[in-house]
Amino acid sequence: MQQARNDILSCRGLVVNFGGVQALRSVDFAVETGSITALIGPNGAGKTTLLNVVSGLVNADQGTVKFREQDITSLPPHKRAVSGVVRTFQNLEIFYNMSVLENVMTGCHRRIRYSVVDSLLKTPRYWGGEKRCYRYAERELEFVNLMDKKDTPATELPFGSQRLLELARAVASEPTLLLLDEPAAGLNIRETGNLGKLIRRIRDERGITVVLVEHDMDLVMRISDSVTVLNFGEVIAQDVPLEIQKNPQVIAAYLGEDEDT
Amino acid sequence: MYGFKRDMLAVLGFTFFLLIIPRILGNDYYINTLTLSLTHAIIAVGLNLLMGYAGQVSLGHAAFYGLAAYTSAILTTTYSVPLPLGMMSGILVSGVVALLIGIPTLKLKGHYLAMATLGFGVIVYIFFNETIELTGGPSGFGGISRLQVMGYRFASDISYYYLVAFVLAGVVLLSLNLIHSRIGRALRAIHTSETASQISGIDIAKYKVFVFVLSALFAGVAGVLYVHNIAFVAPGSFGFNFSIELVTMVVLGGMANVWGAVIGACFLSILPEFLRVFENIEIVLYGAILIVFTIFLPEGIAGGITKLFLMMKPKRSDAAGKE
Ligand SMILES: Nc1ncnc2c1ncn2[C@@H]1O[C@H](COP(=O)(O)OP(=O)(O)OP(=O)(O)O)[C@@H](O)[C@H]1O
Ligand SMILES: [Mg+2]
Repeated sequence: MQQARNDILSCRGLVVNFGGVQALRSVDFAVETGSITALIGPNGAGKTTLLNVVSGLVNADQGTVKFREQDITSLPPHKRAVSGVVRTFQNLEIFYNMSVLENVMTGCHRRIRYSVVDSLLKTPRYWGGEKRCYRYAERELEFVNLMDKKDTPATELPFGSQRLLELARAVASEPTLLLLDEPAAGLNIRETGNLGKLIRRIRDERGITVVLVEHDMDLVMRISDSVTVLNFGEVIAQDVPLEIQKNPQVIAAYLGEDEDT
Repeated sequence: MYGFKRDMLAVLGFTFFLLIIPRILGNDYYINTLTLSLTHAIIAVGLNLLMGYAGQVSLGHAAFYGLAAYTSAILTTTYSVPLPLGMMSGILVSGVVALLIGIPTLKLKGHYLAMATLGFGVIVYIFFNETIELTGGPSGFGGISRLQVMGYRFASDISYYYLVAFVLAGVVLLSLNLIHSRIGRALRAIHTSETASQISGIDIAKYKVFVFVLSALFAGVAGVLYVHNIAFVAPGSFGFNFSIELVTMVVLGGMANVWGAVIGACFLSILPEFLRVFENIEIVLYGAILIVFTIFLPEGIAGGITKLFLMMKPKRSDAAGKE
């Protein structure tokens, strides 16, 4: 089964320790190209840490990360972004000193490549690049339906819209693998429904593979092709959504959490 | 996009304004104060790119100013190097030294640059004082030749003023251009979220080093312009106090605002001239004015002016922001 799949991402034996805390203990995690793969687990299970390792913000103590057959374990985050691994954050990381449009244009950074000299002298290359950048950004703002807010300072957006803005910025950098860390956290039911549709479209229309870390089980079950469950830094299950819902170990992990809290 | 025409018009208007001031004042003493203010503004605009936009603090920018000034002064005076070559070398030395400091410190997270530049500034200051054979020590040295370009000697104070005014206008225009580009966005992005910048594919260490070196180069330009105007150089102009004054210019004028740096630099450079009549309490008044300004204009003078402008025109049409 493993051999027949075409995996865009494959992590092997990832170990991450924070002082005494073992955030990941030998995690294997694979994502099939073109899938929406959900990553779920109780609080503190290590989901964000795993995304951090994949995007290069945290270095694993052990293990390897392969992206499109290439070992990217020691690549810095910006190079991973350039090669197509992009993410959003559980705690929003918006550029608060910019307008909505500028945020998304910053996401296009790697797609326009004019130089410092082009900028200083406003050469035709600069103008060409900026026009393209503007068009890309406009397209993504229309995609998440924030076009009417494009000149608004990012700080003035309501929380739900800030989540969408981060999504637009991430998509604007044209990733091949998009990692979403709890994109529905803090959204109401209607916003979550809308988000689910957007994630689907990102995969279907753009061909972007999505990893979705999410606590909203309805959303996870509705849109993902495969679910990986983490508990205390270990993968305890990986299956299609329907099977995951029936998996006794998964149920126990979540029940255990309910008892604790 | 980004109101490029607006920027151009503003720079043209600014240049015109600088050109007519001398006609209004008509006093050579004031001209020299103005020239010095504009020289400071060149440094402040560069420091603002570093501090206001990219959020990296330098507490040693006076040293870059001084390094360029001394290098050019020593080369052209002691070693009779041709003026353009000496000046180029001066600017280059500032840039290269910034590169050497920036590469190791800007890779680290946190405020290492502030610490490193603080130490660096002190060391350079001591160096200027102690290497007496080279620099003339605490009393400095004179006899430095005045600027000459392609046979034209900027002999009069007013001609020098015009020169510095043009250079400042150029520096402002280049800075505005830089800010309104993918590079400017990258710098501003680094200021708010280094993580999100990296995720957007921005090599944060590279951009930080770049803007640090650029700001040192601007300080270098100011340094050589200064020294070939005054024709005299001494360590006192390049100490820690002046580094702090430069930071104050940027903050007081308005962070992340190119014009703010110009306003802040001129304000702080000219203010002491007005306070001089108060003799004993001069320094107290100076401090009081700074405090009042920071309390009432948290976004700097430029921020205050913008706010005032927006208040007078509450229904500014959206089209004004675009091209
Ligand atoms: N930078 C850090 N320093 C120390 N400990 C950390 C750090 N980041 C995460 N941890 C710890 O590692 C464990 C895994 O955290 P992680 O954020 O990956 O969990 P998570 O599955 O994303 O949880 P949540 O659902 O609450 O977001 C937790 O015990 C957490 O306290
Ligand atoms: Mg998390």
